[in-house]
Amino acid sequence: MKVLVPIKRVVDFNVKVRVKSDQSGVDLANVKMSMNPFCEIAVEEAARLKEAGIAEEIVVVSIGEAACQEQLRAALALGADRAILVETSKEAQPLSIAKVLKAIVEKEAPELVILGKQAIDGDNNQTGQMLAALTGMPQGTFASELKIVDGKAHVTREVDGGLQTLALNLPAIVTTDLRLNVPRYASLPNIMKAKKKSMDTITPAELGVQFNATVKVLKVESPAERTAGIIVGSSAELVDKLRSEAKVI
Amino acid sequence: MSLTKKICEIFDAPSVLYNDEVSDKYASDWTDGGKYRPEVVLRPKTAEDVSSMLKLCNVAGQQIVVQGGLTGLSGGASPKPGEWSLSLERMNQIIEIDQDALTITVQAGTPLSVVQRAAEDAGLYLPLDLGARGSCQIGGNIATNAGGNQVIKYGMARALVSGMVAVLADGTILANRNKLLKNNAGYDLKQLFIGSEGTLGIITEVVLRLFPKPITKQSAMCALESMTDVIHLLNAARTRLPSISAFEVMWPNYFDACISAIDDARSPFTEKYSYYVILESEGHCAETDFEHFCELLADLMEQGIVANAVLAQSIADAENFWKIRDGIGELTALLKNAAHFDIGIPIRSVEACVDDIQSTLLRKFPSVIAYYFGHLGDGNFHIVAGTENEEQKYGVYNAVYEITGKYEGSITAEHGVGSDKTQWLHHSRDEAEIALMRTLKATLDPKGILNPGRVF
Repeated sequence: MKVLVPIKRVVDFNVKVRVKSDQSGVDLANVKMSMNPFCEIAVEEAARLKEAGIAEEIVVVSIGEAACQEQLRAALALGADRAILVETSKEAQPLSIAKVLKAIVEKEAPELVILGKQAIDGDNNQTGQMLAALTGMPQGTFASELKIVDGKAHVTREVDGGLQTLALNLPAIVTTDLRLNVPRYASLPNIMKAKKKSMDTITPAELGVQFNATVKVLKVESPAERTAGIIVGSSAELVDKLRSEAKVI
Repeated sequence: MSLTKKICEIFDAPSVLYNDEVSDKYASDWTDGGKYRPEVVLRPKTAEDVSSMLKLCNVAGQQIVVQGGLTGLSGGASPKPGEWSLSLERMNQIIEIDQDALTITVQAGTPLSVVQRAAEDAGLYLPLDLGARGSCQIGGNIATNAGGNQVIKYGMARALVSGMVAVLADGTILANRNKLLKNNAGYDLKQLFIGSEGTLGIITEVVLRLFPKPITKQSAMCALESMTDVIHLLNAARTRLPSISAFEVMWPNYFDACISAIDDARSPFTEKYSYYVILESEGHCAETDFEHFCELLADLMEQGIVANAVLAQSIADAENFWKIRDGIGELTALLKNAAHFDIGIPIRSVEACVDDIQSTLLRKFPSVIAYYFGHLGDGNFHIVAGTENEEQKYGVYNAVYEITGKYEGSITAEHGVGSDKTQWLHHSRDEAEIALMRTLKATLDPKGILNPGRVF
């Protein structure tokens, strides 16, 4: 089985971003960039399928600037076999990404596409679903467990009331939730091996995809600053303030 | 008129806390000792306040314990019977950031994290950092010459001090807000107050050096099979990386205990090794820093010096490495009557010294459980030993400090002597040195009112 894992380069989860003064976005100058954590989970799941003898080849793909090679190399170090960079300097919105991925799916013909359920920068949670719509493949979103049984993908999903298990015909699309697995660390020998793995670069135009921005960001704002707390002298004072100032009791 | 009355007349109510107004927090620093709540807490707002308070106390012979964020680990800020407290907590203003001289001027009672944030907001970087950053105060950090996480690259707190305002026991204000990197006009008097633990004067304001913030950080957890290999890794990293910002060594019993005791600490390795090292490097080139880091480790692995290694691909990975190193807090909670050590050992003696300590403890106190880890790049390592009772704990302290002295080590590499370790100072300092310390103390504080009984 061939598994395709699309990954995204994003601002590291632990970085505190700052809004640019013109409110056009967040400041990315000299900010640590990493693989989107949900994408890491997708790579890990694919690596486990390969270790279990179910997957034969793992192809990772990323769409963006040349710097995305850094995250593709990281995915190769975690167990992917080869990488494709779809290079563009244009802003990549979910619909454009999904169209590029559709073209890659047609080219590579994977039996399984595993994606993060969302990227932590835009928090869109759209790409996997759009790709399913564009390709007509069945989708299992927010997976907390994935099993391949008798040629079907059994996907356990975290839904409001509990867990739901779907059986999807292959080829299928699975998006990962946080509890699907805990990704491994990249070991030094695997990082060195990853340097020798193949990385192809193509452009959206070569795949016949036009990048059109369908959503325009009007303004980005920081959350309102919280005012400092106070230390009350006694429980009586606390009750008084809760009653007269906070008006919660 | 009594001293209390006089002081209350001169200063407003928030500047003097008396009797019932004094809360328990002033009774102790982070050590277990110190059960004496001071009768009076002086809370000055300016160096002039400190000066007039000390003048009065000096005339009356009133002894003072100087208090900052109360996060010390040597009992230095815990009041002794009869001492009043002088707390810098209300002197917490950022005074100036100089973008050209790369300095920040702050009052001594400013919490470290507030100073760090002010520097960051100005696009600069204060490299002093330690676990207590949210509570500890910059004046205390400097009075105790704090170490912390980045000593290997930036030095101890001393290296970051450019200028200082300090007040002597008699109220004399010494103000030298120096911003010059080079200034050899006379004695560098600020050095007297750095690391002297409040015994020679009270620091009220400091000028600190700032740095451009490094852009990249690489982190690895390395596994090695011998101390010779660990030292080889340290030397290779010092030679080939732009700058090492951390080199933390963990002995296997510590590493394994952390992995099993702490829920979210997981070993990056399937096999067990003799030593584990967290290596971190900082730089300014996003394109090549990670490559150089990988190449160094790959070369050392090929040479058989590094047995295995994992590299952080995200900040979360690096934080997971540090969870093991920082797990000591949770491990300590599981030990009874823990003895804590923060000793310095010349790097080439570390292995022999630790072997000596391990075998001595095993022979004398077979029931003691001891964990070993430390900032080996700074020659500083920590031992935490769980003991059966106070008597045994004292025996463990005696034994370890004696061995430390034998290897020309320091009984305290960063936490300071405080009140708790004065009796062992002689293992690290000779008679002539301690005599000169006493002479300095007698000259600057002839009545002995400032932090008496601390250091020696």
